Formats: sequence, structure tokens, C-alpha cells
Amino acid sequence: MASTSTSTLSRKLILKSSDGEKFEVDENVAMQSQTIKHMIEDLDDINSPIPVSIVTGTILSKVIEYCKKHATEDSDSDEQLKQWDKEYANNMDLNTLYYLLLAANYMEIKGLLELITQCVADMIKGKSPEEIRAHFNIKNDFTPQEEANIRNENPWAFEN
Amino acid sequence: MDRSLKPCTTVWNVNNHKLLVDRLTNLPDELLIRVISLLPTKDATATCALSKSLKRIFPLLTSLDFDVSPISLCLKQPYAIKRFPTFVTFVNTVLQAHKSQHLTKFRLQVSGGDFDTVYFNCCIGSGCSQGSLPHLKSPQLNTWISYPLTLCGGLRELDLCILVREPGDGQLPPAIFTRSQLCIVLLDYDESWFKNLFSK
Repeated sequence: MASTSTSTLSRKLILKSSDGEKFEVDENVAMQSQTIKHMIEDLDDINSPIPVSIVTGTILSKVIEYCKKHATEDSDSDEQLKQWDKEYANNMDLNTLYYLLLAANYMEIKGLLELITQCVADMIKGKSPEEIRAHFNIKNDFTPQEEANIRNENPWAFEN
Repeated sequence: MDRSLKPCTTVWNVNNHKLLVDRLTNLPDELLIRVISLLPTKDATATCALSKSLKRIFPLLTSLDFDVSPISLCLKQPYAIKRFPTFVTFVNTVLQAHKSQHLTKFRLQVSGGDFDTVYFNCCIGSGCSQGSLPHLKSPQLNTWISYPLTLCGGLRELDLCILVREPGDGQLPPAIFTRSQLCIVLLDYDESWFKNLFSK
């Protein structure tokens, strides 16, 4: 990385994942993350890799894919971008969504955070409590009596 | 920055030797609250009854969304109006349990969104004379609508759709009109209610 260009558009940054994988990205792509934006402001040498400490390479590559799409000011209409977001989220399995959500939160990428939280909420909607439990592997740590009490307290919430 | 995760709740599935990790309750509370707050409060309540850690975050939801709509307005239908008291208890219980000062959205729907269709086709069209609106007294309604207005602030969206039986039953608390930080106020009303509101 010997670039000495002062043009904001052409500046490149290197992001380093928790497992040591490095990604070279345009500055405007990386700046989608408020966390990285703040890190750059405090950084003297932008040529050294910026550590994204809790995010693995696999997840970071997906985050970058999202940021690249949203950094480019091309001809995509809002509608096209929404469609792209939908397909992007639908292609993720639950494990990936989980780590992507943690990454979006840590990296402070508002759009990605909203997209993934909505996607997880949509998975819950329309499912019965038992279906939700199975889908997310939620362990029941209530005693049968505690569970019965909760249901009796609020019958409305458990009726279809 | 402490981004430590909660201890993982894992279940070992013996049949396919797969480690099953709870991908909802292991989220940090902050994210869990965000996700559950996107649900209608009926779904949020049922979801938060799945485990102790989910139950713990229930009072901290940042959005409350109450909708009476599974109730039909016609007594001949399965979801009869007589179930309305269960809904009233539900709203009261949730509001009593709610502890967060950061409520950004409050939605209350005490009428069918497709009221006209439901009411006229199902009740009048079929000759059912017992179709009726939920009987909600003014003090009750006032307590509910006032709740989000009593919190320290942060309320951005107030969405009310209320149909009442008697013109005097639905008066809005004056506090609504003094909340400058409210971005979106959606009001749906029946005519008598509207007239009553502005004749004061």
C-alpha cells in the first residue's frame, strides 16, 4: 500500500478481521461504518490495517458486500436497493444472521442493523411459540408451573 | 469497549451430532430488545414467555403495538366481541409491566382496520343485529393513551385508531398536543368522535 493519493474517493483502507484476514476497500465503503469512521479520524497512518476485532473474515466479507452496494451512488432506485437488501438477507442462514447482527452493531452500520433486526423479527412473526422455540433453539428454563402461570396471566397473547 | 457476549446456551442434538446454539437469547440485550420491539406486542408477549432471559427484557421494549383486530365485530363470528375484556386485561397487564423510559412508538388499534367491510358485510349484510363496537369507557382509553405521554420523552410515533360507541367516549388527553418531539401522529376516528373532540 504505497498510495499517496490525497483524493478521498481513491483512498484505500485495509480492514483486518479477528482471524487475521485482510480486505482492501475504498474509503467511502468503509465509512459506512461509524466505528471505522471514528477510528480513521484518530489514525495517523491509514496505510496500516484497521482491526475489526470481533468480526471474522467470513462475516466481514458479507458486511463489505453490503457496504459496497450502499456506498455506490449509481442508478439503483430505492426500490431496486430494497430488493437487493431483501435478497441479501434471505440468502443468510441463521448463524450468519446472528454474527452479522453482532457485526453491524459493533461496526455501527445503521442500515445493515435495521435490515437484519427486521429480518430476524420477520422470522418470529406468524410462528407459534413452539415453532419459534424450535427455529431458534431456545431452551425452556421455566418449570411447568411457571409456564402455566405466564400463560394464565395473559390469555390474549396465546390465542390465535 | 466491552462487547462481551452472554454465556452460550447450547443444546447437543444426539441424533445428528450437531451443536445447536440458541441464536436468539444469546444476543446481547440491546439487540434482543431491538428485535422483539419490532413485533406486535401480542407476538412479543408470547415470544418473551419462551425463556427467563426473554422474560427479563419484556419490560424494556421500545415499541408497544396493541391491535384488537382478531376480534370480529359480529357476534355470529367465532372471534366474538365478548373476547374484548381479554384484550383490555392484556393491554393493562403489559402497561403495568412496562418499565422502559425509552418508548419510541405506541400504536393502539381498537377497531378493525377494515371496519367498514367487516361491519357492513358481515353484520348488516347478513342481518346480524348484534354486531357492535367494543365498549371502551373514556377513562380506560385515557389511561392507555396517556401512558406513553407520561414517560420522559423519546416518543416519536403515536398511532391511534379508535372507534367508540358514544360520542363522549373518546377524548384525547391534551398532552398529545403539547408534545413537540412527536414526528408522526396518525389518528383515525369516527365522525361523532371527531365532532366531539373539536366542540370542546
